[in-house]
Amino acid sequence: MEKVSLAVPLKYRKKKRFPILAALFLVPSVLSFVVFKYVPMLYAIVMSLFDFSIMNPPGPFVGLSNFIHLFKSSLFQTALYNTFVIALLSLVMTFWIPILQAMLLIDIRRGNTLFRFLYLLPAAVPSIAAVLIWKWLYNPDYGLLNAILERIGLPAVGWLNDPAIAKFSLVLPGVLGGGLAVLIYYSALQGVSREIVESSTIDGAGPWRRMISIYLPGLKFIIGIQFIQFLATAFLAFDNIYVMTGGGPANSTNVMSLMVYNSAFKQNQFGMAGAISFIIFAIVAIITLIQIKVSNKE
Amino acid sequence: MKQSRIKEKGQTSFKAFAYAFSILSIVLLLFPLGWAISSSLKDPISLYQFPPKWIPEQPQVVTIVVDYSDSDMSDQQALERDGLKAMWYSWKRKQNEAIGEMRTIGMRDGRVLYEMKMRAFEFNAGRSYVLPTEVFTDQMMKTKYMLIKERGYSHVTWHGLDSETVYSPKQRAVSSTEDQLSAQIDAFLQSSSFLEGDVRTVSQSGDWMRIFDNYLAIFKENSLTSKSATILNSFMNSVYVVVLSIFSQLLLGGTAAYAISKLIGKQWSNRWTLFFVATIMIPEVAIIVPLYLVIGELGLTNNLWGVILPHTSWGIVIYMFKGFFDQIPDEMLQAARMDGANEWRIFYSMIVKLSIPIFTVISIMTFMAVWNEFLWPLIVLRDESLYTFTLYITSEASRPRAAGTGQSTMAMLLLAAIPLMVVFATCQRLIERGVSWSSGVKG
Repeated sequence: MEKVSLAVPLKYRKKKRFPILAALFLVPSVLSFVVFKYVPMLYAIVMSLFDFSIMNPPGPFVGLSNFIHLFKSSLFQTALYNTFVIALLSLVMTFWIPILQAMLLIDIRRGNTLFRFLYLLPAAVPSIAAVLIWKWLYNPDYGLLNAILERIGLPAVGWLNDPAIAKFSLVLPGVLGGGLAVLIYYSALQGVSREIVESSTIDGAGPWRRMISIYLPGLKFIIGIQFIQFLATAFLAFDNIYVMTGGGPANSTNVMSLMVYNSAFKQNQFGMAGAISFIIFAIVAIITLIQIKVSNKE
Repeated sequence: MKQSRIKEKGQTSFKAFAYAFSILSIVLLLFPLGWAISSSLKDPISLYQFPPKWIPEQPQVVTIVVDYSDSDMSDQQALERDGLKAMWYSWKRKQNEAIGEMRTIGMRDGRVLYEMKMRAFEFNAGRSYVLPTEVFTDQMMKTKYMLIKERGYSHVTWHGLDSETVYSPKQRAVSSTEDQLSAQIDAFLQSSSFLEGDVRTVSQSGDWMRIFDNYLAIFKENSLTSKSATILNSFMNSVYVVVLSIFSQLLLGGTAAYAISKLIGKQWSNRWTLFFVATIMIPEVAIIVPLYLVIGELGLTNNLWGVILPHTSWGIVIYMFKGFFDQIPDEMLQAARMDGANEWRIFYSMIVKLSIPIFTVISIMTFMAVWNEFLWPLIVLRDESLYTFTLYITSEASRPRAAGTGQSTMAMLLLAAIPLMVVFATCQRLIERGVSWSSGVKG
């Protein structure tokens, strides 16, 4: 190694410092990230401090009063509460299902590729289309779910119309699992050393034991990564709520991301939207930091 | 691995459980999809039937025979209008039934004057233009006659007043009471006064071929209406956005990541990596409002480029590219440099060829994300003619329209899934590789 790099003439090594080509390659992306990521982030913070006017930016400076107003408003409190409840519900109801599906898939030899393909297939339906299909299944008068309930002798449920269970109905489609998550866990499971699996078998560990003591610890790293992504996605969920309930009934599914959209593009309160954006960013950052702390300790 | 595996206790029952669980999971997963397919093939009545049925009804072909023996009409247009009235008005009256096709035959003294037919997708595409309401008058058909002709909703064959074609009934000549639908249409036509001729018979027969008409109606509507926002148009918008997003990502992300990985010193490399990759932490929703204002400053609101350009700033793309380039040994580049190749030459003749797998993987990941994207195009695009596919189907599905369009919405949703299904079926391996790369596990 040492010899090879010594053999390189000096002028080639010097070139590695910061050649024009590197600058040429970097500038467009740097520009793009500054304009589309960093500027908007700072912009959001600035906006949150003003009674922001689109016509005549930035409008009067109001300090932290946007934030104060938000935390006093019952609408925001409800949205904050709903966001956490929906995220928690989906964590409890859905997060572990793809893990289980992948762990049970690893022992299947025959038709494994087909199983993986079928697990992936529903992900081909654009999420918006899947949401619309579920909305149709939930239809209180003609929906299939209520028909099934009736068939087995249970009363009809107002899935998306009942404030008490609308949150549950939003999360329910995720219970079926599948999608890319199964593939992610499956490919991580393939990284679990075969020798360890074989030797545990020789030591007399049954298949259930193997799942808990060998496969699950083998997935620890990827579960950590997925956990953050899952929470972030659950906190920021917009598409399904916007299409299924639009925040109703009676604000029972109004969440922060919906509030950002509504306050900016429906009510023209851009300062308020900036403030909510900043709060969302802070929450996601805190979750990520906790996760990093925890995983560093281990 | 040819060694015989050691049989363990509970092995067989566990295997059986694993299979049962996986199969059950998949059946449940595909269940909404199956229901959507079933719904997309239905007629309006069975769509809103309760309790719902999985199997759609068989579409019926209804034939109306009108007799002009007692009438002295001789104008071709008037006769054709008469036939169209019989067909359109009775279908409109029964628009929620499972009618697959309607035919009208006009005859005088055993000779055929005209034959016309219309299939379900043609009626469904045209009915909101021709017959928005149930106004069954002579005047109505006079005003819509040209429209029907121009757009080709109905197919009319004129045999002429002195036609030689002999009328020979192929179907049962008399409508029996067991054929509910044709009996009802017969009663409707007998009791109304808009027809010049006499209704001789109304008969029906089943035809499974017309089951896909909800799909055909979508495309017929597209080619036969003056709307600027059509399904095909929004489909092309989505393709445009996806292709250009992928292209600009590969170009910008690939070059930048290569520069970080191979062209600059270690210290600078770390700094720039942090600069790019740290943005993964910024949630989309948190910057969407200011991003909209930035796009406004650039004059790109209501422009497809306003949707495309922000896709060039995905930290994950730089991260994946860099991870790939880092694996290419420096010695290889050194060797090329010593052979006198300049850096640009090395990049485009060597690196690009080596990087085809990562290019493919990133393309597929971007395809999936951008094809599904909803919130950002919703904010940027105002004109319906610029709508991407996801926006179009959502606005179509939420539009309060005449009853009985739920089935075409379902058909549209399923059409939206086809591109990704094709990608999945053809590139499953690449997706699996991409999945393990992007999540930080070396596959």
